[in-house]
Amino acid sequence: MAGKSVTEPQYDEQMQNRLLYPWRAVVWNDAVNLMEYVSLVFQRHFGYQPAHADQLMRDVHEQGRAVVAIGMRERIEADVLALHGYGLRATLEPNE
Amino acid sequence: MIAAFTFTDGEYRAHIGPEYNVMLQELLEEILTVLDEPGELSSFIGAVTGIEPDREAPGTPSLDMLLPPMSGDPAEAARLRAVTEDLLRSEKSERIRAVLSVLEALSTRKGDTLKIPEADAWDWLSVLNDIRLVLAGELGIYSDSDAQRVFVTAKAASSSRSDILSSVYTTITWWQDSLVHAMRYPSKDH
Repeated sequence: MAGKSVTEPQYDEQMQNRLLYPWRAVVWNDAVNLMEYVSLVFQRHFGYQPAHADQLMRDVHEQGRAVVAIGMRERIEADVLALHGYGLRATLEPNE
Repeated sequence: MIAAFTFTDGEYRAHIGPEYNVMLQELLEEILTVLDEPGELSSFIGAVTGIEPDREAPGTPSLDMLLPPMSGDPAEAARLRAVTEDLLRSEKSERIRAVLSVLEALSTRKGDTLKIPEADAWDWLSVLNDIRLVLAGELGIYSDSDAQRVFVTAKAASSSRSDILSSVYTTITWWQDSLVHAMRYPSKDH
């Protein structure tokens, strides 16, 4: 065994992300939910600061969708269901 | 008459005349009827097999707005719907019942000042949002230009069903926005 060279594992941030946070919650733009309401929901449900919640809300509005949370499957399912409770259009998808 | 929400002495207050109070109650009763309806096929399958592997979307525009798919993948969405839809329906129903009882109590004592404790504000915000989603389903509001059309139609003030719905949608949108505003910037109101 001696002398066998061992390669350092390469820490790939994307790979690490996929392992630790394999799922993500996405909120989609729609024509009904008011922009300031959407931001309040992000603040209340995720505990995000107003500036961060506002940025996510603008991303939803301007880009059509935004990733609002990443994590394990059960956690993300619960987030998406809660967002539906508030009336937002949200889906879960693999975090790739 | 209906007026904007303000934040005063730890509660959200708004003037709401009897005509608007009754209209809101009628809308909420209607929404409860569709929310409480169990999916016929699903309860049948559940009774026979004890499990329900998947469930289709309700298939009416308003319910599809209230109970959207949890996944962009149809098979996954159907699987998730089977385990979550009843939960979501009852969450929404329960919230509507709480709001309805407050409106009914206000009617009973012929009051027109709604007072919502701070702790209940999210119930109201979410219920107003659900009403707007249902109306948006009926009015076919899927894009910003659809919304624009509804706001223009609302001004026509004719007695056609869609003009009346448009006008109701516009009013409730404005009212919800005033509550959002009172919650976001409580100090600016007083």
